[in-house]
Amino acid sequence: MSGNMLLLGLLGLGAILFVLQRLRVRHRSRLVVTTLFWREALEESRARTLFERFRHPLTYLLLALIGGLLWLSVARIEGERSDGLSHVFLLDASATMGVGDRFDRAVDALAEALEEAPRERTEVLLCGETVEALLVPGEDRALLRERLRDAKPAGVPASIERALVSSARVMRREGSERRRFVVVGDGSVGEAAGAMLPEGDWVERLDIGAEEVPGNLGITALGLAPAKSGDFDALDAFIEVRGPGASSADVSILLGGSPVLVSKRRATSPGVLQLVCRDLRTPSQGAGGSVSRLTVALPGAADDALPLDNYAEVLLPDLRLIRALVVPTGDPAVDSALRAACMADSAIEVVASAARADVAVGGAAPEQVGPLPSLRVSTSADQEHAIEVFEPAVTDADALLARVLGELGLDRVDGARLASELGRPLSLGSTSGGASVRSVSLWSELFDPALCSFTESRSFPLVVGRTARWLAGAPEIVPYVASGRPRPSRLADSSNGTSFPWDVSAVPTQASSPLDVESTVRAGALAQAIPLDSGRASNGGGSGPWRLTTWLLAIVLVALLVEWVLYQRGRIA
Amino acid sequence: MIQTSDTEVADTLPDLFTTEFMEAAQRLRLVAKRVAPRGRFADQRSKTKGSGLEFQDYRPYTHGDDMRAIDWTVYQRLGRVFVRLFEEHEDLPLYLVPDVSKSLWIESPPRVVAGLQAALALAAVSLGAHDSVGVFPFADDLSVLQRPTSGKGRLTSLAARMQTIQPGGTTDLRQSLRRLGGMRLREGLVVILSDFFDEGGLEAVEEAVRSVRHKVLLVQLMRPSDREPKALIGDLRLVDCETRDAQDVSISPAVIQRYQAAYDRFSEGLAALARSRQAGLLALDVEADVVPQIATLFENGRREV
Repeated sequence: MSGNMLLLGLLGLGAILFVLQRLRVRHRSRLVVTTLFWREALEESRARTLFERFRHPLTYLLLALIGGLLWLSVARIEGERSDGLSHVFLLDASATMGVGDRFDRAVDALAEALEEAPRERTEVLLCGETVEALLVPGEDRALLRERLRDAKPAGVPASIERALVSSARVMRREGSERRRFVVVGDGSVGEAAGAMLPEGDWVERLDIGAEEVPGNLGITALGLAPAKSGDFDALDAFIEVRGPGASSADVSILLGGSPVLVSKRRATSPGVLQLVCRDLRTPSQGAGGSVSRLTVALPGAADDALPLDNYAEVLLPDLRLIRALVVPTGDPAVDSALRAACMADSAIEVVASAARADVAVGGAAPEQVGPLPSLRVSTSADQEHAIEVFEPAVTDADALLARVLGELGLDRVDGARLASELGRPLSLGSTSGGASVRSVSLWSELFDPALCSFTESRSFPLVVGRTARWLAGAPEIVPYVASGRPRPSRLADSSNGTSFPWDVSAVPTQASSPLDVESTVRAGALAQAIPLDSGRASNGGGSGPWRLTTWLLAIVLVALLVEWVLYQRGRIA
Repeated sequence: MIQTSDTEVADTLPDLFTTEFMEAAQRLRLVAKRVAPRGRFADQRSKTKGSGLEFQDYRPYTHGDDMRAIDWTVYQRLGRVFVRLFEEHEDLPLYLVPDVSKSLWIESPPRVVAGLQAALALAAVSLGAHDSVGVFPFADDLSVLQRPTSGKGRLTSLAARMQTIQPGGTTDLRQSLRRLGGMRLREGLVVILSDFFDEGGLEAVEEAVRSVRHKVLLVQLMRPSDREPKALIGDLRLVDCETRDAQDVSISPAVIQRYQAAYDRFSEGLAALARSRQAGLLALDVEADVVPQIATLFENGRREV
């Protein structure tokens, strides 16, 4: 709280106590044997008025002291900064902070630095796998330790730079205050990010010391991809290990607890080892069962400085066969194209029975089997957009379209060419309605070989196959995660930035290059990192204003004791 | 002993007599210097010359004198007839006037307990000396609980009657003692047992006591907190339990000093009244044992009034 606010509070408190002091006393009734002598003893006969003359100045002073101390303990004395700066502290919780007690030291340094910053204009962000607000302006610093109780560095690359840019973008929209960004940790801030800051903002770094991380061996990449063999229910896994002796490192790979055969082991250099495991299937795949966990560990690196990157794991998605019912549309060319596209995809089985179908392709599904997710064909006269997507319980149409663009493979369609061939613009839209299942509807003109080349393009079977998967709710395959790159969350995302500033972009930013391990030291691209050592000591308590508050409250306690004693002795009213 | 809160009015009395209490009271003896004539024969020395054992004087024989009282030896010497006069022993009527107004029934223990115990102790002494005892409780007026009676056997019935006393109203000493005077009782000893907190103040007490034509013994029922009200702290509305008069008081050392000065003036006035009436005054601490305090009245086992 600022000094002016503190002063105003004290003055207000004094005024309130003064008014209270002047209010007529409400006496406690007490039965006595006689009032003969009290009548003589009374100093005056008081009129029944709202206010009395100011009496008991000592009582007033004691109450003012107690109230003032309580006010001070609540308000906390803050150093007033006249420069009007906002302070944004970025606490790095990336993988490199897991070295030794580096994260703890960063937290201590942050707590110390917060003492100098005005609470009303200070914000603290935790930059780990995601960016979280630890303290928003005005919040008590004592909350910091509590909120960091379970926080630990995550096995992710530094997100400081991304948080910095997003924060600057948001704050630019919110106000014109100058900002001071303070990086607490290792995360680097490139020149490009610095250039994006508004004029007047700048970045500082809080020194927390540096550790040497000699001889660290770690997993730098782990990923899945559709099997090269073409089997729809199989996946290939890619693992990369870097560090001294990586070429001969012992790598333990387990799928559902069972060892996995390494199909390809290649040392691109003495410090880089790449492994490929092919045709991974979970035991229940194809039967609609659960998924399995692929774990990678480096048993020989257990004692190195950064244990965080010695273990990685990823969940294999449940890849099921999709049963598609091709419903006649009345146009043999359309039916033929759709059937051919479905049969070309090994993950799709064309069935004749509507009861067995997962999705319907072509015309409307028979009503007796209930609503089926469907890929429908409609005329341009009946449908405004060339492609219309519907998903139940979705209110944000823009977000839906942005999300499904990659999932449906529409980003692979040469839209400009098709529009040119059709002689009219193509658009993507969403519909709303009361349906309970997903649906995608395309213009029938797109299927007419006489009008356009969509059915003859390479993107056509891809669109049909992806659409069938999306309609059936088949899981996505996140193809690749690696150190130095943000972890993708979707196949594709057409947006360069969403309205939510902390959302992790699936598209690698220009600032981060693939497999740029040197820029982030070692970072495991982990679905679930093993926990750091749990023996970190928590200082607890706090310092600075917290201790001051304790003293203030202790003085208040003493003052209350004095007041009680004086009251008991009849010295004060 | 009755236990009440400080502001609660007790409505019943405990057992006032115990064996120890009676034995202690029997050792006391109330002795009058002289009692009024026409009384019953008893242990008190009377102004009347009568047929006692102790020779006191001679006087000339007059018609109607007992022939047996003629001193024939004097006749032989002087040739005139004189009769011997002996000291007549009569009774000393004791009129117990206990205050039973409301102020004596609050606080713990209530003052009425000590007051009635003191009255019973004095009654026991008097009845033991063949004196007559009457009990006249008062509050805003006097009532008759027991007309003057004598005999040791009366003690139990007297105690039983006292046990039935109920709380009275306000204190009106003038009206009560005026009523006592109107009863035209034979001159005796009036013992007033009260806190003397009359609404009329000390003036009312003085006026009332001076109107009594009997010998007077004042027993002031007090407690230490009367002068030093330590329990009263803070801002209080003090309500008189009898008159319901309310006084708003903010307790402070200065107020306490003025209160004590007022109380001291009252106590000194009461003592001056007793001196001027040649009456006894006993400040009876109601929180202490009654008999030892009553015993201070009877130095060497006797008390002359």
